[in-house]
Amino acid sequence: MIKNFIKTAFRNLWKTKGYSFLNIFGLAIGIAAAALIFLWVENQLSYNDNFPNKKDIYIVKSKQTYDGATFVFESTPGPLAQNIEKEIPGIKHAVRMTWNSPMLFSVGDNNLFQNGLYADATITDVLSLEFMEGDRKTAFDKVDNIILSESGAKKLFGNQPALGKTVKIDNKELYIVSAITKDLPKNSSYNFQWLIPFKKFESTQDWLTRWDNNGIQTLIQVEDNANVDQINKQLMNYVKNRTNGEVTFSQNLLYPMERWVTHNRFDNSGNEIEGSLKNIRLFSIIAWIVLLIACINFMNLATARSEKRAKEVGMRKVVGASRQSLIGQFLAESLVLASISSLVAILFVYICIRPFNTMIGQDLQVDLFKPIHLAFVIIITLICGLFAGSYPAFFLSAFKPLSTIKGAKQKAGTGSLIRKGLVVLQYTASVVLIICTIIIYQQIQHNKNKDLGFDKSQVLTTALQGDMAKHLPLIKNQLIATGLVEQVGVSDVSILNIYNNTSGFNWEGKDPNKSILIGMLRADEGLVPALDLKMFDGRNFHTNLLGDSTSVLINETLAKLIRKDGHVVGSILNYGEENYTIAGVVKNFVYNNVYADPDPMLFIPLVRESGLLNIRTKAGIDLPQAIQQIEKIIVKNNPGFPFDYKFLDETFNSKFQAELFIQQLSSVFAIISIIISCLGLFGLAAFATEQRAKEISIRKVLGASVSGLIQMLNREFIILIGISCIIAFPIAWIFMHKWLADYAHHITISWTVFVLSGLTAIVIALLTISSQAFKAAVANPTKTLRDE
Amino acid sequence: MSAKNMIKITNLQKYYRTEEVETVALNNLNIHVKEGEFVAVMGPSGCGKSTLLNIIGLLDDLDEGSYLFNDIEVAKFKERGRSDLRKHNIGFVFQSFNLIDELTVFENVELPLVYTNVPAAERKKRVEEVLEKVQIMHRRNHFPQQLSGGQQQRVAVARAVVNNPKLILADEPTGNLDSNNGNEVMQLLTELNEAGTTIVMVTHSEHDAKFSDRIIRMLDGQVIMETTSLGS
Ligand SMILES: Nc1ncnc2c1ncn2[C@@H]1O[C@H](COP(=O)(O)OP(=O)(O)O)[C@@H](O)[C@H]1O
Ligand SMILES: [Mg+2]
Repeated sequence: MIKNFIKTAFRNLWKTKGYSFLNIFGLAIGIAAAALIFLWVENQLSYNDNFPNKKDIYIVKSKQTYDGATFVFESTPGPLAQNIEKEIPGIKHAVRMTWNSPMLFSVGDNNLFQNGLYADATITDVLSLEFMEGDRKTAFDKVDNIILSESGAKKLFGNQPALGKTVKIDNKELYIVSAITKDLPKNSSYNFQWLIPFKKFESTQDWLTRWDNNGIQTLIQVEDNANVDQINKQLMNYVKNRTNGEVTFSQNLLYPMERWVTHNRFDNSGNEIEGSLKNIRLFSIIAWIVLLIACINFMNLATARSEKRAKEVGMRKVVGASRQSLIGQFLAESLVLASISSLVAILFVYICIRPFNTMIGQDLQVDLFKPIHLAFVIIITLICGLFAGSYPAFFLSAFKPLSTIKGAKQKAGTGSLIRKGLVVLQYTASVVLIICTIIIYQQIQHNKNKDLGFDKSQVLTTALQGDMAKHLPLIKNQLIATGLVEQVGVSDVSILNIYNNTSGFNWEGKDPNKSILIGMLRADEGLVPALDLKMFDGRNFHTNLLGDSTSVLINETLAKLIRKDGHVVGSILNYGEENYTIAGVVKNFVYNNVYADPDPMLFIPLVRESGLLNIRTKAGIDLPQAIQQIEKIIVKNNPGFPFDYKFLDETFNSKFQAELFIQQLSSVFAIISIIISCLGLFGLAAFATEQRAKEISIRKVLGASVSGLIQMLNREFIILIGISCIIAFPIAWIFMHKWLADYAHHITISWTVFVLSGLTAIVIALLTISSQAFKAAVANPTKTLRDE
Repeated sequence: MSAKNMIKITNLQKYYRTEEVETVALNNLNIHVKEGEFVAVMGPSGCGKSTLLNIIGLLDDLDEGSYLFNDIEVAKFKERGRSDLRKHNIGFVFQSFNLIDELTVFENVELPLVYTNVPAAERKKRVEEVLEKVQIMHRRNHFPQQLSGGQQQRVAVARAVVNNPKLILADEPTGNLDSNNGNEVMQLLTELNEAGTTIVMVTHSEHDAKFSDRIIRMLDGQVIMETTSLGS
């Protein structure tokens, strides 16, 4: 029986190749798209699963409240780790560590930047690092030991053995490779290429003994079954108690690794809010919608096609087929189709996984032998096959045999009504996706194109390293002398990521109960012109900072905090014992958070050896040539360091990564859902015109024109899509309204977006169905009306 | 009879090409039909009668030869021109009625008027007139499937004449009807002819052919004989 079902199924599929192709292709695209999303979801949810101690690993967070707003940082004071490890029961390991940052590695002539961090030896146990070479017990024994990751070692030493070899770092210090560890997977929170004993870092940084300087991270592994609430209770005011009430700005707590990715964002009151979980949910919904759209196609085409088989069904019933066996027949057919679709989908996934990985910056893997993947394929196939096949199965098997044989038409009512409903559902989903894509795009553009208060174009940044700081005036002069460079300015970090801040500044008239967090950027006199920052009041720093060692520039926000009108030039800011004079006020510019109004910040004169050179090139020059010239000058003045640069607008764009990611994914899936919907529409239109062939011929004989006929055939579909738009508009509006509410500066949703999306859907649909309608309308009517 | 030619076809060639074979459906065929004439076309199945009728009705194009319709050469007419000429001048009646199942009797008959942009009120009047004439008025709101074959063919005739065409082409109009119903239809056609409409009718029935003025007999795509009825 089953064999007979499947045999007939294949035969029927073959008989209507065109529709079968549309069916299989549409469903395959849908399954493949959903599969990619689910792979990503799996990847996100399994983040850090590679760490066997995952459930016991925590990071120490620091909550700080300024002027009513709470910020949550990951920075902790240096002495914290060792003290809590001893004093708070339940803490197994407390690891001090720096943040992942690049250093210049040299092995022979091979110079390259590698990311890594300084950490206490226990990190190897907490993170269960796998040692490929070297001894985990002794690898951190000496301060000049360095552990390399497998790929890091490969980059430095190629295929030569690395263990025991020497590497030079930042052209200064020599380290001996003491171990090589296996690379951590991409979906883990750590991806260092080197580890150096924290003792080494400690020896150069005397502030690490202070409780009021939060400069490192503290990673914790708790004991099995430790009571974390209890630990947190002790940790909360630990620093305050430890310092006898002196250091009070920060409260600490443990934050579990299990929530680092899915949550790890905090609102203004310091309460945890969802992180990537929001996107995971969003895209899971999208995946199900895409699948639904694909299934609807499948169902629609199957029912449409099966109506043509009414006669066959009637005949089968006359010769004794039971309703059950007919249902079985149709379900078998749809399962066969779904299985073929799944196979094609798997092929699609294998083809698309690489570009998809590049797009999302992850390393997703399909492994059909992984039980969960196999289960997914089977379950999706069953769901699609049964869900999509159920309607035609029950619909058709209910036909009355005599009337179908006589050729009397079944009441088209229910079948076509449900079909229409499904088309409406499909297009509603597609239109919602189109609208969301456009609005997300507009929002990103809005933020990208808004007036930043400085000019980010034409500026490239390169690290101030080695001895460059000593030759700074010379380098500046040589750069300007090329005629290709407009201005050069130095800052300690990128203006877009000012991460130094302090609440230690005071001024006359400041409310002593209010503590205000102020961002700090070290800069020289070149920075304001190089970035084309505008002065609101006062002056820039003097050349070579002459006589300016106690001057500061502040931004408008800060100026207006000090005095309502912001005219505060000449006023004094004091920081502990030191007094600074406000030399100028810089017009507000965007930094750090590109979505919000700028927070108060100030520029203090640069007195550091390291930092960033901000080079503004002249407009209209040959950029590659300019970069070559710049490289030449910098390498000449600072041999032994590779020249590496970034454009400021790239740095700026990277601030939109999360949004760009959403935009890319949503646009890809909007396109996919439109394609799938069009495949379905195409099939339905073909079917409808085929079914109306006789009517079309008669109308033609009676004088209908080709254009009139096309209009007639299109009208019905256009009405359906019109209805879809009407349903989709409010849904999309509510959805996007909520999404935009997260941004302080957001676009207002314009009605033109809706009109545009609706028109797009209609135009695409028209193009899809008109070909069919046209074919039918120009066909020779005598062919259909032949009396034979 | 000295009426002028409405249809004059000379040296008509018509082929059907399928993948393997080329059929000569009409071979060097010449006919003419005068205004107001009632012509019957007879011949064995497959000899090309329907093809000829479709060409006369501008539903199909010819491969070679000339076709003068009211002294205008229409052999090379494009879709637009044919459709225009057709909807103002020609009515069709088919063996299998070819009514649109989704439309009521009234709507079916109304259709040609819709396509010639007749205003609604005028349409209603004319449709009711012809429905009255073919005695189907009482079924005006029924769907074709609810009527007998004879009734359906009467509706088809009504639809063919509602636009007052100069020419009616009927392809075996009684082929699917019993003799009673067939006679009713023939009666209708005769009345129309007497009122001045030109008729070309394909038929297998010698009985029906007797209603005509002239019988054209065909074989293998050619005219082999013409007989004029004695009465005319
Ligand atoms: N669309 C077509 N394609 C191929 N051959 C056709 C087609 N229509 C008619 N024919 C062939 O042309 C010939 C004439 O057909 P037709 O005019 O329908 O004959 P009749 O109406 O006299 O029975 C027949 O041999 C028929 O098979
Ligand atoms: Mg015929």
